[in-house]
Amino acid sequence: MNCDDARRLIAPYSDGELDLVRSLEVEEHLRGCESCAAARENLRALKQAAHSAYFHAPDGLRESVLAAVRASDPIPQNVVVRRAPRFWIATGVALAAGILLGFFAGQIRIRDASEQSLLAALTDSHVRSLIGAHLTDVVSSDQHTVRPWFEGKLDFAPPVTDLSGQGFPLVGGRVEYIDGRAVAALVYERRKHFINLFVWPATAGNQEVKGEKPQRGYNIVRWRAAGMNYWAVSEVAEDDLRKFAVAFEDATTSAR
Amino acid sequence: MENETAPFEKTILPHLDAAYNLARWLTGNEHDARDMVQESCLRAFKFFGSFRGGDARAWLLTIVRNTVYSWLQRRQKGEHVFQPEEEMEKFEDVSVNPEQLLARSANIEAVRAAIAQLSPEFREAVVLREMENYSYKEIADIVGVQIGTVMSRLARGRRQLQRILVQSENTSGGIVS
Repeated sequence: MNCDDARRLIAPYSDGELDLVRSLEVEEHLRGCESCAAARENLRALKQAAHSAYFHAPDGLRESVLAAVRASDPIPQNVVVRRAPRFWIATGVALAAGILLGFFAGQIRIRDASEQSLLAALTDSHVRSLIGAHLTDVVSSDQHTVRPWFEGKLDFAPPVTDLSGQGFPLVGGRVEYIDGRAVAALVYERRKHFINLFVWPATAGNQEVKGEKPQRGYNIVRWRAAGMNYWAVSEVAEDDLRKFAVAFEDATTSAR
Repeated sequence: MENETAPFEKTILPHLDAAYNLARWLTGNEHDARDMVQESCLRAFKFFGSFRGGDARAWLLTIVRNTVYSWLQRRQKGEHVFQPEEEMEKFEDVSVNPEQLLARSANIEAVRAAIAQLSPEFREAVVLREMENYSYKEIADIVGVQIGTVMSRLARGRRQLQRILVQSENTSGGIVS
């Protein structure tokens, strides 16, 4: 082993990343080479120094975390109070009808409000992904790199497929927290513009591709298929987004 | 509701030091680090159902990292948190001897000040490697990059660190606080 090889291997050697044979080769070289041995000593000193710089959790942090966790609601459930039946008999049909009417109107309003906040959250995420450096956590046009990357980061497996052939090359992916859950964000490109495709499990059945009202100039199309919600957000034209949706569905349906 | 939170507390809370250490290095101060740990733990609790066993510390650190970077991005309103690596200044090797470096390394405040000067992607690689003792592969998984990237970040981070440590000694001869 010459000095060039040894210098290259000193770090992995010191970090315990080399196999036994390689380690022994490095050690043998270090025994005979003063300058490489000095480099190793430097690294050792540096590693020790960095290790000593550890910050331990300050007093009281554990307690405040515990208190916050215990006070939080672990699973945010839909809080829809179903008390209509009890009012039926007690207050008569008219009142019950009124309550039911109010109840449904309320539900629609709740759904509208939560859809609106979802739209806003998805648009925010799209905008953030463009202005920050955080467009992707895994950068790859290879679906076989992106798909396994999500494993262990999500409690579901989003279908990932490259659509270069259809004019929408895959750029990468990241995990986002939207509306209290982890969702997959797949990033595609369309003529220098990015498309964020947000994916998470659906509770309802399939739904056709549908355009939403543009949010702050960004177009949004959504659909539901094979147990997943899909929301695509982008500055590309809605027609293109619809093409994208169809291309994605074609590709993933044939893969299923 | 202690029954509901008990498994979470048993699995996650032992790694509070690691969570705080990473948050402290990424935010740069105690106050924000505390907030970030608190927020991360709440997220971890919320998503605890999706934790499929394995390294709970790594799982928590991934959440801490995401939480801190999202927060930094919101705060910096789109300024790049990471500098593109190709634009990073190229550092020349400085000649050092182990004694000099060791003497310098004994001063924990000087070491901390030096680590704080590293750019975030180098800093987190050094923190995960030297303080949490993670392997290259584990760091790659937490950070979401290739192993080769971890190795090059570590190498460059260490080179910068060494340079900063030795230079601050040569120029000031004492502690820069």
